[in-house]
Parts: sequence; structure tokens; C-alpha cells
Amino acid sequence: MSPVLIRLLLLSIRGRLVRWLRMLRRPKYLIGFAIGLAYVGFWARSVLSGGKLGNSFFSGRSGRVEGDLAAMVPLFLAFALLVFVSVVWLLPWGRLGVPFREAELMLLLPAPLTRRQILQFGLLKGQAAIVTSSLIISLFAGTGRLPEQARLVVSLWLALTLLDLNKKGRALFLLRQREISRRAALARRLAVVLGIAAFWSLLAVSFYRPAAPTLDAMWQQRADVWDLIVTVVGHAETGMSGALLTPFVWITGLPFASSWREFAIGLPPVAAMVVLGHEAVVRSKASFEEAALQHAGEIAQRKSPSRRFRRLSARLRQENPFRLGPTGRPELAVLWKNLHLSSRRSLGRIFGWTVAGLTGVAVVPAAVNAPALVLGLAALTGGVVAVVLPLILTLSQQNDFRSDLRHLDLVRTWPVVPHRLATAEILAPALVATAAGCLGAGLFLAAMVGAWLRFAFHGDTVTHVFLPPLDATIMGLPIIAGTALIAVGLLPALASGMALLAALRNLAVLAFPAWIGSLPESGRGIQALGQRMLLGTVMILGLTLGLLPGALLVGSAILVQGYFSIPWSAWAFPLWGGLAAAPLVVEVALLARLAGRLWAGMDPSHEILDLGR
Amino acid sequence: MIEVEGLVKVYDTLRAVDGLSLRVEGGKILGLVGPNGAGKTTTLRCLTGIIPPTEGRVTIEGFDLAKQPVEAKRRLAFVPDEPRLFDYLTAADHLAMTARLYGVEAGRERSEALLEEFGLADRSRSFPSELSRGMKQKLMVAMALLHRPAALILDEPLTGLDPAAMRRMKDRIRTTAAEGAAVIISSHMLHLVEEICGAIVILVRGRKELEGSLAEIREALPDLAGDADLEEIFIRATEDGKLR
Repeated sequence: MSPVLIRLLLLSIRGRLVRWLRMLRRPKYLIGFAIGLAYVGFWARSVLSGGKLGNSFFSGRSGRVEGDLAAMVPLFLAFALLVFVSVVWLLPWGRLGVPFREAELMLLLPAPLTRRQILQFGLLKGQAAIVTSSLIISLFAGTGRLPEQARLVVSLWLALTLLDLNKKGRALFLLRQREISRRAALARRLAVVLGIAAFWSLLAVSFYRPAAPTLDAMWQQRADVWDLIVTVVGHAETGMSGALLTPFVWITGLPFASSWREFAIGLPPVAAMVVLGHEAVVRSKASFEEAALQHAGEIAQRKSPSRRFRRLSARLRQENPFRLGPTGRPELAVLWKNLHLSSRRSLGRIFGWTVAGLTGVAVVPAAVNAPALVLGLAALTGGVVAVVLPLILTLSQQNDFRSDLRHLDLVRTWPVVPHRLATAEILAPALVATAAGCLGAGLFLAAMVGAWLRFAFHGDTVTHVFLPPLDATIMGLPIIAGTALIAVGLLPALASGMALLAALRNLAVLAFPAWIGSLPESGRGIQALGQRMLLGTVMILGLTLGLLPGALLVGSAILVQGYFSIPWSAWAFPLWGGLAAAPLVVEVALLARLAGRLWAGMDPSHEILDLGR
Repeated sequence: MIEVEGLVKVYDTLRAVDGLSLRVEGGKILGLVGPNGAGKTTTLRCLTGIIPPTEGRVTIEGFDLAKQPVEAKRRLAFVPDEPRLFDYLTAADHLAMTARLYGVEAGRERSEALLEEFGLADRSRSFPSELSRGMKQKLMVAMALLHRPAALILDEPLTGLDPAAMRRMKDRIRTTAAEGAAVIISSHMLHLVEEICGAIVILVRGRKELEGSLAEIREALPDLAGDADLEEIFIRATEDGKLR
């Protein structure tokens, strides 16, 4: 391989390392790195010192897999490998050629390099992932003793390299199939299929002929399953079938070598296979260049966030969440924009369709006298959606500062008062999450109404574990009215709670922009792990503290009611909801002010715009 | 009017902009040129409030960008070198949003007129990923012009445009200035700067190396030929120590 390409690879690794070290000069990265390193170090130590993960899979007779079974594992794995390789070569479709990034192709293809060298570079690129995987697997499955660990890493590296070569060899074979004449391609495909079929036939015959009498006899005598397995394995290991399986056993057996001697005997054939596989790949006649360019383009398109918008219909492109007039509060434009990221559909239309859908859930099962299970499942789904979806949406959606930081050249020039801009950024995820909560609660209520309607239409009482009994009451109100009142009462608390979560999230984004995964470079490495752990802890703490005043207010109201012996009524729920929401609204307003200050004073030069590095 | 006094921007140990002062009156066009890494984009980002300056003061129509940012930004428009539009908004949505942000009366009509002017009328419902680089650039300029800014700042405005679109864009920039806007253009296209800018600032390593109209700059450099063009001046100015 060209020394220039090796140098290129080393330089890119060094570049990444230097960039990473420079990043650590800033305290917030250093703190994240220290926390991440402490966590990884603790985990690795527990593994290496023979903790619960350290009980080796590959440690042979002294580990979890003992005795006969341990001796059989390489053969089982070899058989699985054979099945895998046969199946992938039989399938006529799959990735074509060797994957390269567009930038690499633009650099390598015009350079004075042979195709063999470029292919070698393509193979070498994959080695980083292979070496890392070998290390991680060995950490999980090794014994923790250094010499055995080292043998295991080398064995796994060879096995994974062979799998990689097989994958790339097949991809180049498939590519070549497209380039040659139809007749030649058919002949090659036929040769592969016949070759695999012949191999399997030979394997089956060579195994079955000597083994059949013994196995028949054992079957007649209803022998123990374990004895049957031992006999099958014994026959598979010997004679022609053993010889046919040998190359595969060489690969799968090497990680199980229990001594350096055993390892030294097993190593040469596997290493020879790697060399042969490598030669087969780099000598391929397939013109991988064009396929690689196409593949790079496809990858870039697949990664593009705009992919899903391009598929929208002409009608939907004309729709907007709500009508935005040219004058009025400018921050409403930011909310309007951010809602597009969730859906372009008009909020009125979404509301209409939701109401129609929920009415359907209530009426249709009752009209057709559907089984109770249908309504029970609807109630369960509604409950889960109401509780889980708002949280997931608030944390996972990027319709706030998280996505706007990528558009600083635009957003920073907008004439919007900073805290109002922050409020608009917080409102979009909070609104979507609250809507999801309402949808869940609505579904739950619709299922209950459905149960009531079924009783009204057919006189059947619906009983299901996920549906509250219809004759029950909540503080004097019938169950459906009581549940509806609870839902309505909780709505302000849900909305303000989601706004608090969104506010905390946005505050974190503004305080530590580079810690947020949506920006390039963030979200990877040990420091990102530590940053996430730290941010997660702070968020949970902030949320708990934020919810505390509301909880105290509701608790006080309940105590006062109890102290003055005011009768309990379901009508108290809206009051409690309001009491829980009031401090949250104040907190969100304060956090929005703080976020506004951070936004106004933020210098995005280093962390976002990557300037002056 | 755009006024800059003693602008400094420091990144760690690098002084990207070093004590820059300039003034662009309404109706005038200033060209900001300089070699790569001279601090042009950093200067423009400081002038538009994207990044805060380390030192110095920027005023737009008399409003201090640091103290009255909303008032200053209301009168300002910026076209960055890279058109980073929102993936999830169509061209028409971008203009509707901009109209609301700047409170443009009759925003819809003006948006339609600008889309028509920039040849984007039939692409109004297209997402940025469906537009070419040049179309995105035109959309960015349309967004910038929507609220009739008093100060227009453009970073490489002709990148990605075809020759006809370049000519239209140059005419549009001239018209905007003629309507009273103060315009700053940063570009490596020296012929553009020479053609439409009344005044030129040459930045080298964050410092103002030369300033004035082309004729004034020629006069300041007597050893240059009387008909020296901006390219020649630029090369002289950016070669180490030639001017000092």
C-alpha cells in the first residue's frame, strides 16, 4: 500500500486527536471528559477485575461454558458462519462496491494512485472500527488476564477482518455483475449458486452417510438429547464433513485457544485466509469508482435532514400551522417557524381530525359491539401516550434553539427582544408535547365513553383490566365526568411542566452549546458521555426543584381543605391543576428571561461557528 | 448609516479584527476586500450582531448595536456567504416569516414582487434542498431586501449566480443604495467591488490597510501606474510590508 495513503490516514487520526486535545483546554469540555473518563474507567475496571461481565465466554473450560459444550462452541460458530456466508453469497442484491466519503473520492480519484492502492485505503479505513470492536468485545467476553486478553483481541481482529473482506468482496462481485454482459453475469451467478449447493450437498452426504445408522438407532431408543448432540458433533468433526468445516473452525476456534502454543498453531491458516481475502478484494476488476461516488451521494442524501420535506405533496406545501400576518409580535414568527418542524398541517385541521378520530374510537367499537379488548387497548394506549409521549417529545424534538443554533447567521440578526425570542423557542416543543398529552388523555376518555356507549346500545357491561369500571365514582362524580375533570385540571400543569422542561433544555443549549448533540463534533467521545451525564443530572435536579413549589402549593391546599373539613369534590382538580401550574409559569418566565440574557450575551465564535481555531 | 469605531475581535490569542473604524453613509456602497483570513467575515458578523466584538462600537442609523440591538437590527439586513436556510420552510414561508419578524406592511405583496424579481415565483413552494445554490442566494437577498433596510451587508453576494443573475444582482444592490441604504459588500470578486463600490477598504490581518475611492487609493500609492486596477492595488496591499 502507498505510504502516502497510510500517512493520510495517520494524519487524519492525528488531526482528530489534536482537535480533541485543543477542545479539552476549555474547562467545560475538561469537566465532561473527567466525568466520562471516571465512568468508563470504573466500568472497565470492574470488567477487568472479573466482575459480572468478566466471566469469560471465551475462557474455555474454566469459564461459563464448560466441558463438552465448550469444546463444541467453535464448531457451532463455524456452522453458523458457514450458513451466514452461504446466504449472503446466494442473495443477488446488496451494497455495491467499497464505500468512500465524497471528500475522499474527490481527493483520491484524481491522485496518481493505482486502483489497488485506493481499494487498500478503503479496506484500511474500516480497520479503526474493527480494532475498536475487537477491543470492546474482548473487554466484555474476556477473562481479564492480560495474555489471554491479548490473544482474544488478535483472534477477534482476524475474524472481523475476514468478515469485512467477505462483505467487500461480495459487494465488488455484485458490482462486477452489473458491468459484464448479461450472459456472463448469469454464468457467474450460476457458478456461485452451484458451488454453494455442491458444498452443502457434499457436507450433508459426508455427514449423513456414516452418522445415519448410529443416529437412527439412538432415535429408536429415544436417547437423551444431549447424547444426540454429542454424537452429531462427533460425526461432523470427523471425516469429509470435518475437513469441509475445517477452514471455518480455524476462524471460530482461534478465540478459544487456551495457550500460546494452541494459538500459534491456529494463527497461520487464519492469517493466510486474511491475506488471500485481501488479495481477492484488491484484485477485483469491478469499477468501484462510479459506484462509490453514487454511494457517497446516497449517504449524504440519507443523512440530510431535508429528506422528509421533499416528499411533501403540493397541497401540504401550501399549508401552515396557523396563519401568520405580516404585522404583530415578531416572536410569533419564530413559534410559527418552529412548529413547521413538527408538522406543516394547520393546527385547526389537526384538531378537527383528532376530534373526529377520537369520536370514531368512542362510537365505532360500541356500534359494532367490538370485544372489550379493543377498548381496553385504546385506554392503555391513551394512558401511555398521555404520560410518556410529552416527555419524549420535549427531549427529542429539535424545534427550538437546538436547531436554530445551526442558523446563527440568520437568527442572530432578527430584531426580536431576546427573552421573547427565548419564550418563542420554548413554546414550540412545549406546545407539541402538551398536544400529545391531550391526545393520550383524549384517547383514554374516548375508550371510556365507548364502553359507556356499548352499555347504552347493547346493555353489555365492558370489563377490562385497563378500563375503570363504569359504575365507579371519583369524589362523588361519575367516573367519566371525574376523569374528564382530572384531565382538564391537569392540562395547565402538564403544559407548564413541559414548558419548564423545554426551558431547562434550551437554557442548557445556550449555556453549553457545544455539549448539545445537534452540532457537529458534539455527541461523540468520552467527554460527550460525561457532558450528557452531567447535563442529565442537572436537568433532573432542575426539574425536581422546579416542580417543588407547585407540589407544595397543592399539598397546602389539600391540608387546608382537610383542616377546615371542606368536603372533597372532583371540582378541586382544576384548582389543584391551576395551583401546580402557577409557580411553573413564573419559573418558565424567569428561565426565559435568563435564556434571553444568555442569548444576548452569547459569543458563538468558538463553540458554534468554529472561528479562530 | 453604518458607523464602526475601534472594532476589535480577539479569538484566544488571535486578533482577527484589530481596531477597525469605518463609516458608510446612506446611499453609498463600501467594498470590503482582503486576503483569506483577513477578518472580513468576522467584521461583518460583528457588524450584524452575530458575534459580539471584544472592543469597539457599531451603530446602525444611530442605534448602538450593543445597547439597542432590536432597534439597530430592525434597520439592518445581512446576506451571509453561505445561504443557511431552514430545511423545513418553503421559499414563500421564509419570506412570510421575515415579513413578520420585521413587521413589513403588505408583506405578502412585497414578497411576491421580490420572488418575481429574482425569478423564484415558480419556486415559491420549494424547500431549500430543492433549490440550486444560486436560487438559495437569491432567496437570501430577497429576504434581506423585504423590509427595505437602511443598512445592507452582503458577504460574497454573487457566489453561485449565473452571469445574468449577477448583473441583476449588481443592479439591485445599486438600486437599494440609490434608495438610501448604506451598503457594505465583502467579496473576492474585485471586478464587482471596482464596478459598484464608491469606497473600498482593504483589510490585511484584521487591520485597515487602505481606504478610500479607487482614485484616492491610486493617489495614495504614487509608485503605482495611474490606471492601476483594484487587482493590482490588492496584490500590492496584501504583499508583506510593501505598503509600509
